[in-house]
Amino acid sequence: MNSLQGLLYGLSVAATPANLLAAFVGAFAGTAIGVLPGLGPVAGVALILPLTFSLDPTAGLIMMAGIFYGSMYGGSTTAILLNIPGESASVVTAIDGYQLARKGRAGATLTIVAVGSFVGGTLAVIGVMMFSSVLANVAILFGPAEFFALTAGGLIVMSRISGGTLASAMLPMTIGLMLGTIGQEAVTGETRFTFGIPDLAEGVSLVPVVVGLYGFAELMLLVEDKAHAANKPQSVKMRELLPTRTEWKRAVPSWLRGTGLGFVFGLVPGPAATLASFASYRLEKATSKHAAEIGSGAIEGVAGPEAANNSAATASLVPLLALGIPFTPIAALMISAMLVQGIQPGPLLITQHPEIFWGLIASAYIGNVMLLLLNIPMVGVWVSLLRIPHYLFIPLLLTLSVIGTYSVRNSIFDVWVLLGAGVLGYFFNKMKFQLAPLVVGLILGPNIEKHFREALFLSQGDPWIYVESPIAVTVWLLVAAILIAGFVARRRAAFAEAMAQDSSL
Amino acid sequence: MSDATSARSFSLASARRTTALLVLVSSAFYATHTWQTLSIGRWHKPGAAIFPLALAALLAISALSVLLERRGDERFTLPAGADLRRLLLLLAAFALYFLVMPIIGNLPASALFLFAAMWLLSDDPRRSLLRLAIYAVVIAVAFEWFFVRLLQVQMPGGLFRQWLF
Repeated sequence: MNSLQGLLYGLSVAATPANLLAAFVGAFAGTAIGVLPGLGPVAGVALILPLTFSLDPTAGLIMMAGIFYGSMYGGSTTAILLNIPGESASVVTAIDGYQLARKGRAGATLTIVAVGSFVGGTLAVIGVMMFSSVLANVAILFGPAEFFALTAGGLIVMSRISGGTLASAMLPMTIGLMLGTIGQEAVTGETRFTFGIPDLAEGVSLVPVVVGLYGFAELMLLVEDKAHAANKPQSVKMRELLPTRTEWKRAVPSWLRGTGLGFVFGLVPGPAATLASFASYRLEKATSKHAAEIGSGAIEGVAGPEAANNSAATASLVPLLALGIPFTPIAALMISAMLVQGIQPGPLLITQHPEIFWGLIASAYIGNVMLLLLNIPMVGVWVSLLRIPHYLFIPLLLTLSVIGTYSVRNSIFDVWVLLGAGVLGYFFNKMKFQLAPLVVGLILGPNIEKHFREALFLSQGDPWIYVESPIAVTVWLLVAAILIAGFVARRRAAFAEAMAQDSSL
Repeated sequence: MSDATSARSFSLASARRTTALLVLVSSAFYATHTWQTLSIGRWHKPGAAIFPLALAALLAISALSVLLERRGDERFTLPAGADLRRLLLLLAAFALYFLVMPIIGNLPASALFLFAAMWLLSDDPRRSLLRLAIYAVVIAVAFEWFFVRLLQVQMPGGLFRQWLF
């Protein structure tokens, strides 16, 4: 079935009442999660995961994706109104967005942002459709050596790009990989590193680790942060919601530039949405006619990044759907959801489960429409959510995380893992270690090992198999290029800084 | 609006190095345990020990690269004094929550935890305990209804459940 037929099929799947409800619940919950501090999209998706076990797999994945996009929209609302980005992909939006709000253009900015996110997401879906099916067709020919290159190489690239120094990411990455080796080993069935604890026989469960690292740790940081409670957002009247003709006109080129840039970022392993928003901001400063105003309240400074982050978020579905390889914690959770339901992610997903593949893509369209409708009129509701005092919603979220974590395997051990991961995440955040590589390492580890050993088995012990196929070699060369480029860029930045310091003496 | 006494600052670099040292030591244990309990296999049939040994090496390298970092005088803060006590009490309440949940059931345990946590976190000494208790019970009941009754999520009912219903 070609892309258009696939999309129509997907729309028929996504438009069933159950799936529409799932999309709505996801978008709604996602926006709320994006607006509220302390519970990011990753923890939100992790908490939904156990609920999806009783749902149809397509509905569950649609809901998780809805939370993901929804949180992008929600995060920009608080960024604009309060200068508090709801999550990292909205940090850039806060720069010009808050300045625009102070000039009285809050409503118009919110609209531009909502429409821009819609444009970014919708156009990106077209790209996802085309790329995923092509990539899936190619990837069917991949063998263990190629998959080893993709998974191991992708993990390394993702760690490099995750922000901070390579060491800040590699340490958590290897810890995650190590945790992934706990439990029953895939090939021989031996159990490793369980030390007699029966709950560890299936390995460390993903949900408690993710909710702990991202949810619990954030909440602990929030308990410390008393300054937050004093913020009172300004109210936004409906009449002010429409942008002027000039504002619309200025936004359109930024939207398009942002969408294109965001899509490319989405395909690369790493925190795509956040990186895309920063890159789009720099692009706007470099190319926009009104570049001088950017930073003090220019519409381009929000239109571009918001389109970019939604486009990147959507595009990051491509490696997930076409290759079955998760490169972000949210993708990892979606893979986990599929595995629990007995669905094998990978290049065969498009042929074995077209309803999931096309249904998810189509629901991205639908989700974007829903979010547009949810966000513009309901701004007042979202803003009032921010008035809920900390002493109410922190315990609420903590209780929610216990219920959600326990319900994965009915295991109290998992809740202890949640606590442990939470404390670890808290300290890692303080010490500037990256969390995402730990999560992706945890889920990719067994995968990487499997491909590593399968390749040797296939080649009868010949280690050259890893670099025999041209695809594997290309992947490794790309990985090396990215690492070297990163290293060079750092050296240059350090050099420039040193020169600047010298010259100011 | 930060109290001078309610936070202690630590050197980021030494905290990172301490962590790296811990990781280095763990990687040694990890490697030894692997060596002793798992099989290496052959070239054409690699065993369960290969990947963990490679990981141990990678762990050691990552730890060393953090140990050898040259960082400035960045510092980070940890809560101290009253704030620290509050955080630790919150953690203790949290642990107690899921320790007693299998015994008294989800609904009572959640209500108790919610009450304790709200009381710990509310700064206002005039906050009425009764109001907090009502909030706690309402939220706990709402969760029980939504997750256990509506979504059929399995939560512990506690040992006394059969005598209540």
